[in-house]
Amino acid sequence: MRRIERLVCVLMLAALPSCTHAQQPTEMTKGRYALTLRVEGVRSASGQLRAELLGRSQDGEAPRRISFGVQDAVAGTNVMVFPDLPAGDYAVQLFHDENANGKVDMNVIGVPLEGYGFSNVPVVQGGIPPFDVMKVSVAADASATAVLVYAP
Amino acid sequence: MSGGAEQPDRRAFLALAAAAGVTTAMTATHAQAQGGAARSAYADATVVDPRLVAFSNGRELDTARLVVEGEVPADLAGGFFRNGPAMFEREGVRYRHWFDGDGLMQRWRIHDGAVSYRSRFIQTSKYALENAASRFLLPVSGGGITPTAAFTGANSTNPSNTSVISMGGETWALWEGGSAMRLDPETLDTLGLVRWNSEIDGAPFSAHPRRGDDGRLWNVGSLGQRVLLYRLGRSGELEKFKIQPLGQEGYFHDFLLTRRSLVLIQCSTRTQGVRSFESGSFGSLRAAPDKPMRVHVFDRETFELVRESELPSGFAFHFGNAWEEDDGTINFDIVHSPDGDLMLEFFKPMSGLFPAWQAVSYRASLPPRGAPRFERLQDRVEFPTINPRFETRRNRYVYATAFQNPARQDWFDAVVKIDLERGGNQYFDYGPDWMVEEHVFVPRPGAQDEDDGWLVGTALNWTAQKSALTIFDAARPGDGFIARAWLDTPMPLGLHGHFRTG
Repeated sequence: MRRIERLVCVLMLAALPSCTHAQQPTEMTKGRYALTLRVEGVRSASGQLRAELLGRSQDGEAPRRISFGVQDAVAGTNVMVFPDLPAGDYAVQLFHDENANGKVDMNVIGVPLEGYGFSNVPVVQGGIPPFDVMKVSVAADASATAVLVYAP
Repeated sequence: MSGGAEQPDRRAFLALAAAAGVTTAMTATHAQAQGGAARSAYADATVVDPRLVAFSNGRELDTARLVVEGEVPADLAGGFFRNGPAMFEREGVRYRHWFDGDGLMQRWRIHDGAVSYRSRFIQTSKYALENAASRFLLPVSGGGITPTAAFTGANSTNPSNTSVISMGGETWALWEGGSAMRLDPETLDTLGLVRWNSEIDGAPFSAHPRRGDDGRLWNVGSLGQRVLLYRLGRSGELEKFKIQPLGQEGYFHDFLLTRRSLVLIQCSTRTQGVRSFESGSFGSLRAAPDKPMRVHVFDRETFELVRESELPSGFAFHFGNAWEEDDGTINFDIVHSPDGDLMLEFFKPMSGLFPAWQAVSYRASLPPRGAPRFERLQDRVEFPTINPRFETRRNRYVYATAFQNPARQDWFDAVVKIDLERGGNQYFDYGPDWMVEEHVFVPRPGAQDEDDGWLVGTALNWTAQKSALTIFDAARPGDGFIARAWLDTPMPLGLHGHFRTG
């Protein structure tokens, strides 16, 4: 159940108010880096992109959530920035909350009805890929790309 | 739980991925090699066997006036629609399973004694992507294609290739793993997926919905060890849906409807091994001879389980009709194969071989208590159909494709009119040049008698390399056909048909 639970977890992002964009590194964040995610294939400017930044867990189980980002969607390519990260491995999973209801809508059998995607995954193949497939190693400011897929 | 949400779970999500024949452990080069090998075996076989045009790519065509033998009845007016897999190869890669080809909707229109023809590929999401790329991008159910396009679930690979019904002013093309597709019955243009609400958007909707005598439509969708039950109003609006547990896995393609009950019968199959993307979901569907076929009887109004029962182990794609007596006895006919590996037979046509036809038609009676009773009706049959006005009522006749030449090992050469009550089946023998597809019953306007109408269907003449539509008097198919309209080209053998009157 883990993978879909993680996708469902994204659903709760809406309840959290903070945004990650528009923050600039300062003296306080030296030794910390920004991960810039280029989100391609966003089909409309409706609603928001809701993204979850994941880190490797200690026990090798489900990746842990580190932070999240919410921003208004723009049709085409969007850029989301996760600043102030210590060096390490990260991954991003996100969805396009087109109807702005704060959750990823799914049908009764668990197929997402809204666009979704993952860092480093140009061609989504159904469910959530393993952490190592999505991972971005951050040792300096880093960037990655996610391409959203929408159910037909 | 009708209309209620079920918690999404990973198993179901991944089951859809598996239905599309995909796992994360993919070996692309192996798959390409397999697709290429099947294509080469097929290409070699077609050199010496002209019958195999039956499994070549179909095409879009318009023919204004077909050559007609005999005389088309003046009071027969409408379109004979046939859906079926028809895009099997792109750029040297051939599908591994017959049921994977993209759907081609064919329409033979009969009007004022003349016949015209039109065919169009159904513009699914998959077909549009692959047509633009000029190659296959997504596997369907038989595996063997490296996925190179994104997918979210079954609708990403839905080929919309199995059957066709009329729904109000629209024609719906059906598959069984995903949504129905809406078409314009006039132009055959694709209008979009059938969508009711977000809860069941994209859920499986099987290829054999059944209409009650009140015009409502029932259907099922397979969710592995569960079933999704549907009831639609006369105009196609969703009245009710519910997910019910089945307690076990077991393939089903068709189901039965009576005036009280919805009867679901699971084949004796189980999923074996890893559902790899090389084998697809069909390649991992294996006989479970130790397991009886499982019958689930649901109340057709409440969708609550009424009772369960068992049939002898085997596999059944199709049923003709069911009707229920006052005491709850359910009578039906079933095309039953003792071979639980029947789904594997349909890998054969893709590499130039013919499937083994072993299924036998039985009349079955399922009493409220005690063992079911069977009566053997006809050996080696498929595609049973009845007068649609007799669905859920006591019917006397079933029409099916059959064999007249016992030596034929390739495809059906005849149609049969089975008399359930008095025996004495009638046959029309198409002859050695023909491969016969499903035939459907069209009631004569104002008819009362069950067999007062026409039997209409298509067949492929492999020596002439032409397909044709043949019209019979449904009371007397044994006397020969009334009319035949010839296309000037062969079309691949299709699956299910439907006659839209008017």
